[in-house]
Amino acid sequence: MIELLIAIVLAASGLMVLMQLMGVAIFADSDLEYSLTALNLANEKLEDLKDSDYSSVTSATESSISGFPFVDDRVVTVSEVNTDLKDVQVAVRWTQKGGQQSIQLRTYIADY
Amino acid sequence: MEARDKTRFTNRGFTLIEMIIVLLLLAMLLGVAGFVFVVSLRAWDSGCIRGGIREDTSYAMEKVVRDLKEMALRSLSQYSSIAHTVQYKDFAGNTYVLYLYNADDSSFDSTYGESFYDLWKANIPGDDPASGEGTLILRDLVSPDGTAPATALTISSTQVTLDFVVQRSDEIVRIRTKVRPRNL
Repeated sequence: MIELLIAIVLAASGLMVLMQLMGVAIFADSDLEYSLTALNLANEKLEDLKDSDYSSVTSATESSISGFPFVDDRVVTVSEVNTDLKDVQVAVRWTQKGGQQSIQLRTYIADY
Repeated sequence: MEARDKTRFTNRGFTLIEMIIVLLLLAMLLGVAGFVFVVSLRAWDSGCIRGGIREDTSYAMEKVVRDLKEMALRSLSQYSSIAHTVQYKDFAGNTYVLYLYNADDSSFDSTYGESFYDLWKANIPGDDPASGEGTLILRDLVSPDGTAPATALTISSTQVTLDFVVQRSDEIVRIRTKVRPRNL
């Protein structure tokens, strides 16, 4: 009897490990997808900024992006390097696995 | 007498209640294992489909973005004023059209009545977009909100919005970005 119970406990432990592995595999897949989508959304914002008037390239935060419910926000941070050059960073953030993930793109926009 | 009692003790079998408990535990374990197996299979299937969509969509996005960034000066327009088409020229003077095509859609115009469309690239005048000629870029595009028309390619005055929503089985992957052609 005791041997059988030990065997069952061992088998149950093995199953628990397998279930955890499965969870890791599933999350790894969605990690990749969210990263890819966030990267393109960050690029979308950069292209928008490059297409804007130089004076309207300013820091801003979008608290949500329509059609992409997993995104927490998209943050544009602008700092002036000199009067004709701005350092622009776009960050897209989302929550996954209990923590906040983000992707950042950075470029310079000149007033030419 | 003592020896016979000892033999009886060491060789005793399982009681019915012990067997039932063990069988119940085993049944529960097998139930959990079966559930995990089924869930794993579904997750694997879903992962394979989504992985395929991601790969195809990334390829299409990269191809279209590269083409548009490298197009010739001020050559961006719609093809025959049809929505969700993009016409442009490369530096060699070749004219290309990106367009949505579904063989079941008999009218090649801004009305997109079918559920699914494929994204094609035609080199005109050799390829005829109305007949689905050219190079296939991306299959199984659907509308973002699930209703026609598709909204894969949208041109503003200086930008092209690429909003690729691909559905295969029950899996939907959406990737969106914008391109500002460098030579516009």
